[in-house]
Amino acid sequence: MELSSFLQMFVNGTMIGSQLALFATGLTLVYGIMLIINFAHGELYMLGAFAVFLFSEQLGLNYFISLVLAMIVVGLIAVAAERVFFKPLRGQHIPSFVMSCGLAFMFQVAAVLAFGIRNKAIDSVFPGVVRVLDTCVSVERLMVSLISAILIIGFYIFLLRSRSGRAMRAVMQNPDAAALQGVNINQVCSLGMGIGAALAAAAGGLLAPVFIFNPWIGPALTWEGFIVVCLGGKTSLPGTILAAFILGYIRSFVTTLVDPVAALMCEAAILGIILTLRPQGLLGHE
Amino acid sequence: MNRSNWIKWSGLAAVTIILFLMPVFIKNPYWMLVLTLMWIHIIVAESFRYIVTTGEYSFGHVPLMGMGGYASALLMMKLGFSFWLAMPLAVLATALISVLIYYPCLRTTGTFFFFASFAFGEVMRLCWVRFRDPFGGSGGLGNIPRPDTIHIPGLPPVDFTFLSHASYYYLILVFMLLSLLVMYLLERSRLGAIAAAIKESKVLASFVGIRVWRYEMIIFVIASAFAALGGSLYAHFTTILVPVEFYWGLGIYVCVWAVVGGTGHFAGPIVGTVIFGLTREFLRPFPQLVPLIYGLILAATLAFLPEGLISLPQKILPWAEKVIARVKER
Amino acid sequence: MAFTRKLLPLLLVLLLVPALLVTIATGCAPTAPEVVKIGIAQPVSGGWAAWGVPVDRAARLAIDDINAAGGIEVGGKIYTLEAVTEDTEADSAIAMTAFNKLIYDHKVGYILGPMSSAINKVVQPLCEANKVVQLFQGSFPPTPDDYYNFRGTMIGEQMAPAAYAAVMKLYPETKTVALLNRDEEGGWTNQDVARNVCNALGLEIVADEFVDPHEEDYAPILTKILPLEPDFIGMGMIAPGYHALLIKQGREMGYEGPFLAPTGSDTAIMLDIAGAEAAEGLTAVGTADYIGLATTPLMKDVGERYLERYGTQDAWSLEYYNDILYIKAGIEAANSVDPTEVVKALRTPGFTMPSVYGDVSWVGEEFWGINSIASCPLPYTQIHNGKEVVLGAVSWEDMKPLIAVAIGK
Repeated sequence: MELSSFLQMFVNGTMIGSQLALFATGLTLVYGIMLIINFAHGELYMLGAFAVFLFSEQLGLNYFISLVLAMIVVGLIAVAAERVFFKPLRGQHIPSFVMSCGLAFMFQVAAVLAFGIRNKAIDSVFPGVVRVLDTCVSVERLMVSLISAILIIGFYIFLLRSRSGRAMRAVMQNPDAAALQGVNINQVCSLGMGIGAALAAAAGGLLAPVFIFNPWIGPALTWEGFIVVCLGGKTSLPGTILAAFILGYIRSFVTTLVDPVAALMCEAAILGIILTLRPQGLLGHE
Repeated sequence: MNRSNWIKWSGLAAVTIILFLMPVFIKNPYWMLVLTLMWIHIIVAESFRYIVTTGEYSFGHVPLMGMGGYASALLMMKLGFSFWLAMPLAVLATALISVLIYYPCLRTTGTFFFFASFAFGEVMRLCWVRFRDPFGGSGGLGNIPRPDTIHIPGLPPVDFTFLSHASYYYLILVFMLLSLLVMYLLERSRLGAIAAAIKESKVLASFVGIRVWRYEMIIFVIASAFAALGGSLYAHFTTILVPVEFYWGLGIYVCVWAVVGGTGHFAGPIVGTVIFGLTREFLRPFPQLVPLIYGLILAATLAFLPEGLISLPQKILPWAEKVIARVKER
Repeated sequence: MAFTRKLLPLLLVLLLVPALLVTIATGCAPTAPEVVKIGIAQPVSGGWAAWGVPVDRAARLAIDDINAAGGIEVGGKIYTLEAVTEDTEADSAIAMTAFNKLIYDHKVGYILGPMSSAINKVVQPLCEANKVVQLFQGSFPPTPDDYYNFRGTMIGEQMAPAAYAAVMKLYPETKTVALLNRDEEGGWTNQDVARNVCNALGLEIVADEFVDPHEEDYAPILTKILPLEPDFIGMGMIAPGYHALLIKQGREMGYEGPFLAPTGSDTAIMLDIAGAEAAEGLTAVGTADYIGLATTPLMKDVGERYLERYGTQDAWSLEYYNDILYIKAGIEAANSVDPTEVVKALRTPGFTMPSVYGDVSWVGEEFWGINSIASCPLPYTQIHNGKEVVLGAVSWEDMKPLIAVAIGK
């Protein structure tokens, strides 16, 4: 294996990992706070991409403004969904999961009715390619990774420093104790859902100029996200990021060296092995 | 037999007789097809629920259905077995494979079990995608042979060409009824009581002396056997198996049918499967809206009937009793 | 009534039976007399909808055109056409159900579909046994046993040789090629054809890979094949939206050679997703831009009305429009709406029928033992400076030697 190939695989894996990290962080947040297996998370990504499409291509706004708007709009939709659909089922894992499937279906149809079935794309925001040491990466993907990192760091700062953030961490650790301490569980759940959705929408909006999107891209992404979340530790945010990159590198190296199906098999096998040998994931606690 | 049991069994007998008579009155092969597929789905949904009686939700159930189909198809195609030998062997083989899949999963519970069962099921499914020989790869395994003709002395032969949907209908109806009967009796037996105990609390069950993992494995394997039965019937009915059909799509539908129907009661998955099946038929002119209506039914049921559709009569009963009482007063 | 509570769930189960019966009874509206129902069995929802919806659109446009022009006259009576669409969701059980619904409930005599070769294995026997004419959009060759089954569009054996021959003509120094295709039945057979063609043309195949039909991130696979220095990359049956991504990412990773879309592309999508610079030099067969191609006034007219009605032009759409024209021609020639008579008329040696390309006939016997392919010409195009340029069209006669080379005859 040549050095340049190795480096290219490493770069590819890093790009995949950072995309997954942003998306999966939102998923971990939702699971950690509400113990919901949110099957509709991929749809939130999809809606984020379509929202950016709506604001930037159809309404002509600046891309970054569209991105922020998309995060807000999808966040609000998710909060509304949480209040209406998930709150009555709080604490029940499987009914919440089934409900999230129902939501996913509804979001898909909404997207079809609003935007049609064709694949959509958004113009590149950062044209150009970076070439270093015989490896190439488009500036767009590099910026996506950078902005994802900024968003994740920003989210962490919020989580560690702000009052709401601490409330969320408290609920993630022990909801009953947090309630006893006076934390408003309802507010925390809504906020968690909103932020988780906003992160997913951000991932969708950031990748909209890189890839294409249609109403059905959600489910495949949701499963990737869950593999990351389970691997990293369901309530561990650092674990999620670690797992995202591990999976990114596996996907990149195995696809290039063997074939795409082998990469999927590796991912599934690793998920199964980790869950049975160390159910709390790589960095999670019991 | 007390009165309510008598009513129950005669009611079920009446339904069974009607189901057997349907092909006589409904000559349209299309509806025979719809019903036949529905019987297969009921087997899978009911066996999914069988796992749920222990309190666990498995997402490896549908891949095991697929495994039953592939095993049965390959036994016929590569080894030349007759359907009547291939099918039970396939069920057995899948039951053994399910031991491999569930053995590591038994160390997990709840959502961990959910994802672990999915992960191992997915590894198995990806084998069908990766290895074109013998599984046919992502394009699928086609030209699966149909069941051999049955020769009963004194009666005309029962053959299974695709046009004779009635023979498939009866074949699969018989297997569905037998499967339901067996699962029902199992639930009524000591095994069912153990499952309920495990569901209630694994810790307490083990205190009482129940070897939890052993009984969970027994129940999971039995459920997988039924899923494999459904898969085998499915394979020889549609004559093609494509790996993507056993991906999370069908897994979610099976889960939805069982949960929306109501996992608390034996007949829940039956109600769920039939209701969604009928809804799909009504939505044929509106293909784009199918997921939306499914989602709405889901959301409405979970919100208003958390125990599933099967609890609908119970919810209506007090209200109905009030109405009847008021009418009597007049 | 103390025991009633326990029996309530049973009551619900009992109620399912009348529910079933009601559903079955209300199943289907009967066909009005003097109406010919044409079934469209395609994936119209879900991830494969981009393939199936154009069939539905084009067929409905054709049917409306024919009805507006006064229908079809058969034996002194005027018949109108009616389209019935059943979703196959590209799933074999659902497709089997869709075909059964069309045949037994809607009682159609003609079906446009399926799109997938795997599904056709399941449904073709059903159509043949029920004497239903099938216009199948799959891309593998017909077999001599087909009687009711015709190809509703170009097949891989027609497109691939023409495409690769075109590339050799445009880039004579080409020596090596990387073959990519989508990982499903149609993609495999197409890859087999591509291999044969490349071997016959003396090209060295440096890479032979399959990707998920909906793959969007081609960086890993490009990392594998670009170091092997292919002179050009053949993109097989990867759908336009996705091969646009492949082109875009390939350029980003430094690939400067030509791309080939040997089973069709869609220039509007290429420019939208990949951009004019990346798409420069993309060679493709077929076109979505029938208005631009416009080899006949009818093509221009239909193309414009398709665009007006549906807002976009779709790849291969007017081939599906042709399918309806073929059915009409068969009905008129047979002077009957009975599919068996129509097929007899269609299979009359030398039968010609109108299409947007002009008059065509059923051909292919010398290669596959049966005339089930329409002799439409195959345009091939290249993108230059952000525009699709039609370089020529390969007629059926010109295609024949290329096909012979491809299948090793």
